[in-house]
Amino acid sequence: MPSDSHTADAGKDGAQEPVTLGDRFEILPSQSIPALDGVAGPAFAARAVRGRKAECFAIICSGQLPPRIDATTMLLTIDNPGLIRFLDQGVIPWGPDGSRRLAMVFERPLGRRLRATLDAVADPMPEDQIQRTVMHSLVPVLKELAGRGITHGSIRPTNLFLREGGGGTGLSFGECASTPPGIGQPAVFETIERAMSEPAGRGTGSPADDLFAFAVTLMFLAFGRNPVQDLDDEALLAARIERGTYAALVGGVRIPTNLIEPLRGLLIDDPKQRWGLNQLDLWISGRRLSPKQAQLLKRASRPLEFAGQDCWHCRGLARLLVRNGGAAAILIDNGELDRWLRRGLSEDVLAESVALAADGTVGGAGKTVIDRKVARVAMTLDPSAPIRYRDKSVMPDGLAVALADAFLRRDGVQPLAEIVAWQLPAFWAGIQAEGGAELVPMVQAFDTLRGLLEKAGTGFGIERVLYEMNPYLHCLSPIVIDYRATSAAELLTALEAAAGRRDRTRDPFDRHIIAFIASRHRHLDDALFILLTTSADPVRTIAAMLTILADIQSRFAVGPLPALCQWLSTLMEPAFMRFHNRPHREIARRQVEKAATDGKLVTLLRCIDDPEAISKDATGFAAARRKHKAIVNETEKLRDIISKPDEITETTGRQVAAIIACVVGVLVAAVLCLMFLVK
Amino acid sequence: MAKRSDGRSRKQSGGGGGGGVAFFVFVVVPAAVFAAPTALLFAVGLVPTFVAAIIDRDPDKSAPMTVGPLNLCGILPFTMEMWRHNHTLTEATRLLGDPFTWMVMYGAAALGWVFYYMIPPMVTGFEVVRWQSRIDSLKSKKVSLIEEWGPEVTFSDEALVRQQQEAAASAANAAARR
Repeated sequence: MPSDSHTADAGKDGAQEPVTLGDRFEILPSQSIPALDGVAGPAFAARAVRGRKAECFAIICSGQLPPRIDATTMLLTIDNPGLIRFLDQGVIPWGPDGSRRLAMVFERPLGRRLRATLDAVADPMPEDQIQRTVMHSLVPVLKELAGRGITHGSIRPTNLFLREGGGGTGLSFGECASTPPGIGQPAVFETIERAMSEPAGRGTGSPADDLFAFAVTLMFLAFGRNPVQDLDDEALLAARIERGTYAALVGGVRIPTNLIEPLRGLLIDDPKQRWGLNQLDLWISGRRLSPKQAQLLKRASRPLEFAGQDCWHCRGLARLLVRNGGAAAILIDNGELDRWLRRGLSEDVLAESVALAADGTVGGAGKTVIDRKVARVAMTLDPSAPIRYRDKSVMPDGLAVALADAFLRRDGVQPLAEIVAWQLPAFWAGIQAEGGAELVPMVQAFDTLRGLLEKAGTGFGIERVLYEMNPYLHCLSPIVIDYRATSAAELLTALEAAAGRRDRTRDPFDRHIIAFIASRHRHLDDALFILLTTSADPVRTIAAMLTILADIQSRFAVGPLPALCQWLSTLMEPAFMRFHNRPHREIARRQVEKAATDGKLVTLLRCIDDPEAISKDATGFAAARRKHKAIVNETEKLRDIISKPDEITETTGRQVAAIIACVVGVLVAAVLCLMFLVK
Repeated sequence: MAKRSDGRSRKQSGGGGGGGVAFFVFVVVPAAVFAAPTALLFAVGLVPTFVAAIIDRDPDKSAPMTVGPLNLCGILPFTMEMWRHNHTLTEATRLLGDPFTWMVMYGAAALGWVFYYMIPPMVTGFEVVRWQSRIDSLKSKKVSLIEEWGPEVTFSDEALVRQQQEAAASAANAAARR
């Protein structure tokens, strides 16, 4: 595999030998560092092969979470003491089974993790220390990340490291490269909208989301503990919706006076009113602003009783609706929701929008229609909330990671596919009050994805959508998942490695592999992929697959692939059977065996794709059939003749007797005439 | 072969009557008028052939065709002797009065009957052996054809189409499973 890593004996001795990553770093599998373990996987000691003296560590991604590759190029360029420096990444062989893992190398933090767990109790951090140490260390990082358009996505007390030595103490943010933003983040550190989404579906987020998480982190430090330790995520979210995040987190605890203003400003739930980096910067530089009051959601004059609860506002109701789809559909259809919106909430415009959303559910049947209707109504009631469909709750820009996560967990793919199929992201974009023009590309992209989803055949469908939405995702086919192939060329090498396994499958391709190739190698004709599924002729199927793989091998100059060729040759029996002539079958088999040994897929393809030989065989077969028919006819005729000896006697026998008699008679007569003439 | 015989027999029987009359008018009558001694000798000597012609129900008339030539050979020496020395009715009568003449003429006819009864079974035996050998040869050719082209070479057009359809259906099922 064209990887930037290799190891001398990693495969032999259980990966206890150092594993090198691109000749730049050595990862030491024998030296794990549990204190630095990340959400993506365990941490191990690492060292630079040359030059660098600083200590390093590597996180070996377990592969259970989708990787965050898109931001790594940018993160490599950040050299800020307030952020653990990201040094390198690459796929390495890991473990005795030869499987491969994504490794990410970071500079080792100088101090310990600030909090081991979120529920750890410590002395409250004095406000001047928060101001001098925490803010002065970390706000510049937030600014740099925002300037580069990167979201950290993992800001929390357990991902802060003390920076001791060098004459001062400071803090550093932990790594954020190994997982997509928000995927390992507790809901308390997310805005209400993102907290309502499932972790994998929170999307890329924004610097404003980092700032929100930073404010919650400050609150944890100021209190010295988790202020909402006794509340689970659902209860906390309900409290935040009801009372606002600031009030829900602070509760009745006294907060240092100086921190009230920034925390209140940074934790406002309305994104338009929430403090940004500019306001925080002004505050840090000494300018004091009047504390902002949190704007609560519009409350109805009377509650709507639904699912055993009293709903006072749209956001809370929307959450309940998606959890009780069947009852929600009744509530929508019987007009009770409409009445409550008009009379209880005095929202006639919203009531109209809800009616339109409910009526616009066309197509599908049964439960699907109900789920779609409820999802659309919930979105209309709470436009900034995630798309909530069945048990899924995802931001439109988080759909890609959520889909990858669902595939990796092998659970919950269907609802996500239906979200794309039913164009819910486009509906979500359509009801947003702001950012309409910015959302157009997203809507167009989802429209294209829907086309790919609805196309029949391998190479399309939800797997194709997965790889189109996640351009850096490795192939998730069970055949090659352990080899982390991220390009078509790597896939070939992964298949070559998989071909040597005893437990290999019958076919070296499945829906994932075909969709992966279709999305990563765009030079191929779609008709080839359609042939893989729709052709009833197995020879055409294998020929199409060989054409695809041979094209990749030649285009990317992938070396010989004897094991893969041998694997493919086991599927070529139908190609041999196409020849009626048995000796030619044997010749073709020997040719394929030879081509497989050479490891060239093109040669293999030529063996089965020879129209001249096929035509010659067909002509020969037709002639052989005619010949066989003639033999059968003649044999039957002869059998018929010899089954009636009396007839032979009466016909041929008598004729022969007559002829012999005539000949004898003529001869005797000739002799007599001669004697008569001589005398 | 039997059909061919029947066709020929019809043809011969159809023209037989006319031929017989012509033979009588143009050969027998002139011979009786212009070569009465020879005609007498032939008339008496060819009795076995005439008898064979009458009793043979085969349209091909293989019995007179077998007996006749040899019967004729039996008459020929005496006819030549008569032609050489004295071609008269007296001489013809003398020859007919000699038992040796009768023995030679009818002995030759008897040899014809021997031919008629002995040769056909021998021919049948020979033919059966010959055709059996040909069948064996065809059988080995058939076996080598099947070895080279498979049992499909023996299929009828319908069976071949059916087999191809079954193969296609099976492949389609496999594709669907994929």
